[in-house]
Amino acid sequence: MARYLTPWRISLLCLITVYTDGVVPNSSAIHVLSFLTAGLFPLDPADKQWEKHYLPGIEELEETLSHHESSIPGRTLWDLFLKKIWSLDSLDALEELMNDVLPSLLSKTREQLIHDRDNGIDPEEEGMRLSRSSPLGVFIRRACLEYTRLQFHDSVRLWTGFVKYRLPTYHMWARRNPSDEQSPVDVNLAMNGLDTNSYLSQVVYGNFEEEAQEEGTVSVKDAERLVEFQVGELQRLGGRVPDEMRAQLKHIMTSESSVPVLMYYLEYLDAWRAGDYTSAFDNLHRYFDYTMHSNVDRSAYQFALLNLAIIQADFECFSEAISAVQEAVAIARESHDMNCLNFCMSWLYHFGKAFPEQMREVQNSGMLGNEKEGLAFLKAKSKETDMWSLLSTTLVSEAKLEMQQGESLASIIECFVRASHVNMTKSLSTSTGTHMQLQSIMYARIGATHLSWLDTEVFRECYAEGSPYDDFVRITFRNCQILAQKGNYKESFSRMNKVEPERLRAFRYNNSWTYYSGLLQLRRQICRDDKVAVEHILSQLRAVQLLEFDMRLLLAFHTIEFTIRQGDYGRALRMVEQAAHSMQPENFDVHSQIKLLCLKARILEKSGHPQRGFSLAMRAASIAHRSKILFDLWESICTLAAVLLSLREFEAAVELVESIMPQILESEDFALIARAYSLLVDANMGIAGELWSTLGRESLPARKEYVSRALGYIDSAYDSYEEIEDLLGQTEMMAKKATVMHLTGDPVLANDYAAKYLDLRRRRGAEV
Amino acid sequence: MDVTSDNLQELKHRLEDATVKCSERCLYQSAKWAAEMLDSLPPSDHEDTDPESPMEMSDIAPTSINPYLQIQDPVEAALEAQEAHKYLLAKSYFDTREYDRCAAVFLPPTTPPVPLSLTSPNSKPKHSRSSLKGKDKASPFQGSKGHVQRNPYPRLSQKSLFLALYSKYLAGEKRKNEETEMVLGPADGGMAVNRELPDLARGLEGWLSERSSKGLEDRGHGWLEYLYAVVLLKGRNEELAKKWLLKSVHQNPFHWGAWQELNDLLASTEDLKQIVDHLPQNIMTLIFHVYCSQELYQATEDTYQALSELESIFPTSAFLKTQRALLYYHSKEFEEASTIFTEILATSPHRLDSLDHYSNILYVMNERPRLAFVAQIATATDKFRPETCCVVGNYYSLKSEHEKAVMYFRRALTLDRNFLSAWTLMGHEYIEMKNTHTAIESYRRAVDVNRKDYRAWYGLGQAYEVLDMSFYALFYYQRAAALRPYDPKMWQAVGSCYAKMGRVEQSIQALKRALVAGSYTADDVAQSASPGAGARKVLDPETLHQIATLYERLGDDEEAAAYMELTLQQETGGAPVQEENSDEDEFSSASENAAHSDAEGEHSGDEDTDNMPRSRRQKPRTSSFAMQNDDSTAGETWHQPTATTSKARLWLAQYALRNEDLDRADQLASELCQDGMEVEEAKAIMRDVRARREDAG
Repeated sequence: MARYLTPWRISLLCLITVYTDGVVPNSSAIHVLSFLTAGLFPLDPADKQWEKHYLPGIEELEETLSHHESSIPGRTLWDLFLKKIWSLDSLDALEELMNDVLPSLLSKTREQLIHDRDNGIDPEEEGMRLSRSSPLGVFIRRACLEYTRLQFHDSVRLWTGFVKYRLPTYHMWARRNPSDEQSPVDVNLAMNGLDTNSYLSQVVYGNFEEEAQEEGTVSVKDAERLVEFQVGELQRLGGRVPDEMRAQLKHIMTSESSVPVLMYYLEYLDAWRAGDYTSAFDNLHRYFDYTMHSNVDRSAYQFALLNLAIIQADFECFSEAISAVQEAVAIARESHDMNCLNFCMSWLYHFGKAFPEQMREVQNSGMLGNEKEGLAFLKAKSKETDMWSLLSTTLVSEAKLEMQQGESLASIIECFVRASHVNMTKSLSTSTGTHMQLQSIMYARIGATHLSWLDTEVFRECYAEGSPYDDFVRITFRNCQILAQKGNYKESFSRMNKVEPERLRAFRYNNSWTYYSGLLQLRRQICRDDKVAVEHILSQLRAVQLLEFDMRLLLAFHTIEFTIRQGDYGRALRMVEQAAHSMQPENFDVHSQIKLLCLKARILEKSGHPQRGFSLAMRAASIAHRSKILFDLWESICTLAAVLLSLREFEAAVELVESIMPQILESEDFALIARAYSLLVDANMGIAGELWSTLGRESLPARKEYVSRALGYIDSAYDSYEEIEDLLGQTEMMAKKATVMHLTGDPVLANDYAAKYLDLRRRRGAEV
Repeated sequence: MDVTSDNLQELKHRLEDATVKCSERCLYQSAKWAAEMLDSLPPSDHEDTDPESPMEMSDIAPTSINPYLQIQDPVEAALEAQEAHKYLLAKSYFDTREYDRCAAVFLPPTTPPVPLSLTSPNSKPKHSRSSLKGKDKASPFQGSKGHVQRNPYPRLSQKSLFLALYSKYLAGEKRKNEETEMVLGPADGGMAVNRELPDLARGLEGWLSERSSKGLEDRGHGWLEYLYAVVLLKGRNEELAKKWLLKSVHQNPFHWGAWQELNDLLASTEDLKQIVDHLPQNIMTLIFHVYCSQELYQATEDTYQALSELESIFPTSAFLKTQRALLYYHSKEFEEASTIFTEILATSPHRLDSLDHYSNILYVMNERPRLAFVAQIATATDKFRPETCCVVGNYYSLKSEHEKAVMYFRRALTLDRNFLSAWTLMGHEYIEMKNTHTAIESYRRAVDVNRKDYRAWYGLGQAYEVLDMSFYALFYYQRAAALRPYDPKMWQAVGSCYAKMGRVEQSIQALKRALVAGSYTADDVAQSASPGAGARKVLDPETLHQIATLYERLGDDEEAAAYMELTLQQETGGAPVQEENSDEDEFSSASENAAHSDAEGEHSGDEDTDNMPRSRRQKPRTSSFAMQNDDSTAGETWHQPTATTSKARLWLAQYALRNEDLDRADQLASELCQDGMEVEEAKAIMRDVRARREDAG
């Protein structure tokens, strides 16, 4: 494989000479230049046609150039370009191009100018000269250097390749330039009166009729470009190598002896995402071994260790990972490599958040300080070393930490705004995902569900394309979760299923996607009270080993909910205790705490000890109030109201619930809404009942009013339950309604509702 | 030569026989040569009547059976039949390059008593290819001198013995190669020794003397004699080697390798004349004669005639065509030479032999695209052949990429230490790179390989001239001039050397010789070009001017003036004085130009690379001469007033002024003003003339 020079690069050089001849009018110059730069620069993922600009064929050139007129009337740029490439009529002409013509296009160096001045050569002012450090100048210099390095037989191969490369344009060129028609191959053959079928030509150029061999069209540099691009994409998006690309890369790897070393890194990334521990490990080490020679001073050792740590952690070899990252930190400190140190610290911080029990040892060694200190360190250092994406992630992490610890909402929002500012000003697209996701969670916590929804939608609309697949899957889940809260299961499932399999090719993402979809399903089935389905899904979800703590907790909540619905309160209580125990100070979350308190209170209430839940509910409400987690506040107030109901404090309950009703409605969580309504029903009925017991028959109008209010609330609650397909709630409401009707002395309607109730029960039964 | 079909048939049989026997003895190059010659014979009538089954035909037709293929000697035949299996074994070992093993098949290791090595085991190694052409020094044994050797070998057929000894020889060569250092590296003294040689020499001497004592001397087949000669040659015992080679070619005339060795032994035409009488009378001798003449630069009518005769017998022989092209090359008819080579390439593009010469021709013709193309062809066939490397090196040299050129010449030499042209060309490159000492070493190696290479001698002279060691330079220039007595450039070099050493008379003589040589090649008339007779001849103005200045140095103003006038006469067209010389235009030839461009050693390079065979830009020499002309392109426009003729004119004007010939001085000065050369001086003269006239008036 050629090192650098390939036929298409020669053609680009020819195009540059056309450009410097000054025949490209200003209107076309930008097209020509952008075509050139697209071919010369590293592949740009933002370029939608990058396949075309990677190894441009002669057809691409034609497509680009034939639409542009040149400064010479009646000739397009394509014509001039053809003339240029066909003016290379022999190997010697190519040599001349590379050794004489191209260097003369560059502006003179200081030494040359001094030399000229000393020798009395006047600076000539004709023609355009390219600056030596401009992209084109650099390209020319590199090409010339590479050409000088070529051995003769390599330049012959390049020439032969070029002859084959331009051969398809022969007729086009000959038609336009009938006067100087020459042999389509080599002027030397024509001089001897030989054509391409002669013995000599066969010896020198091989057979032209044969399917053009790909040999020589790809250089090591091109392979590197491609692999670099792939690695970039993989690291940015976290996906895997697409199948077609895999075939291409395999071709490169097997056909050529000089494979770019980065290839092994690519293989490692791919294997890592595929969950193939052994080969990922193998390839990573292979990459290290091959890069060792360029790494004499161990400058990349710490990065290698960091990589190792990451992959070890990903495959749950935590102790190995920690020792690797500790070594990395030590080396980075030793060699004052702030970048690596910062990355290590950041990773260690996140690792500690995810697996606190693994981190005990490190924590005890006092290497990191506490979380806040760690974050402050990272913030300061990343700003110092201009690592903007790290700064952004750190800010978001800080926001998350404060959010979990239930600290000041203002400072949380400040963190978000600062992160967003960094993202915007430094145009970081990769860290937008995490930012948006956490912000959406934050909005949901303060009960602004519509804002939360908006965030996820904005991400889906604007940032989905270039962001890591990881974030994409999460935010999609978040989006669908909100949809499910509103009872729009169908839409949420379809959105979940719409995630392209391309993005889920990495094992981990596929895993989380499965988990998320399972959670959504589970929620629906719990509502529908489909015991078989729920248990089926539960067993599946338990089998998925997801590493994120909050997701595991979410599953636990759902399970508890289900257990409560099954009426197994003892077990539910044990599960709550278990969940509470699993919380560590590192992954402590106020939201989860409140949720657990509420659940416990609810269980106690359901199991007939509502008063024992009073202090729990009060604690939950006060914590939620203190840390402004409004959504949880409403829930705990509802729980409190339920306790109050059991204490026959109906008025207070009504007051409480009615005062928060608008906010509850705003939160768009139909489960909570239904629950609030049903509380109101109970409270109103309770008041009516109290009126009846204290005042007897006189209370009829007032009582009637309360009853009708209760009836209205029953309908609302029923509607809400229906919205989220909560059968249990619906039947309960129907039963209540039938009872109320019965009490108000309307047996017909009571009968109707009772029939409806039975119908619902049957439906539930049928589905069971 | 009249060739009947019977003769032709016999020739065919002989060549066929030679091919088979050479390849049986693993002399592949000779076998190739014989086969090529065989192939270039015109097909005889009765053989191509049935092209489908030539084998059957030969079975049926008794005339087609090659009588030479049968073994003539019954003793040998019996022995060969006896050893048939062993021979096959040995041959297969040879073919897999296991030379020691091959030798051991016939010569059990105990048989030859371990010789006391006469060479130092630490001697410096030197590389040589398996062809038996290299000559090394430092083999101090002296063949037949001293006591008579016993035959140490068991009773074997000559064929098997040859194979065994030859493989032994090659094993020694191989080991020598393995010890070789990098080309021109610090430890590369060129003093390598094939350690099998003394052993082989003694053994062969014993064997041959035993044969002669048995009276079987005339029944040898020529092979072992050849091998013995080669071994002797390596030991620098050339006279004896020549004797055995002659014997060998008598016994086995169709073995081309022996002829080639013989050719390498001949240093001059005198040697050739001496040897001719001892040669057998057959067609091979004729081929040898042509080849030898070519190698000795004898591009004479006789040679051409002999070559034409041969070509009538071998109409398609690429070998003969190459010889013709090389002859043209030696007589500087580059176009013709190039055409022949082009034809050869078109018919057999895989043939790389002598392509390096073709590249030299193209170099001289400054045909860069074609040179690149030839390099491309050669590379397509085999990029690791010394010829290919030389072609590529030449190409880079023409592009003035001397480092790359040296790299390729080095590669050629790594592939074959004895590749002559690479050494010489590398010397040229080092001269270009101003690495004079390495250049000298390089040239010296070339001369060691082949003493007939005048370019290397000339290069040595140049290198020493650059180093201001005129005495050495003179010696080498004289060697070159002896090899090329009709090349004016050589004589000019000699002349300028003398001039530098202050031996003006000798210098003048040498330069006059150059004039003669230059005009001789131009006119093809052997006629002395004395100043008087020069009116009808085209002479090189530079040389003339040089002679004139030398006369001036001697104080002989009249002679100087005469030569200055002569210089002026060479200018035609542009100058109004020399109308009578205008008809001499057509006599201008490449060699003339070449001659004058070199005359003063001030050439700017471009002009003489056009014309001289492998002469290079000799910038280093510029500083070494007292007389300096500006870098005008005198070569291309010699009939126009040139810097040289203008100088001559100026000198004449001044001379006329001194001799009070005011009219003449005025006329010459005004001519100078017209030509726009030396204007200041000319105006000064005109002012002076006017002043004197006024004084007189």
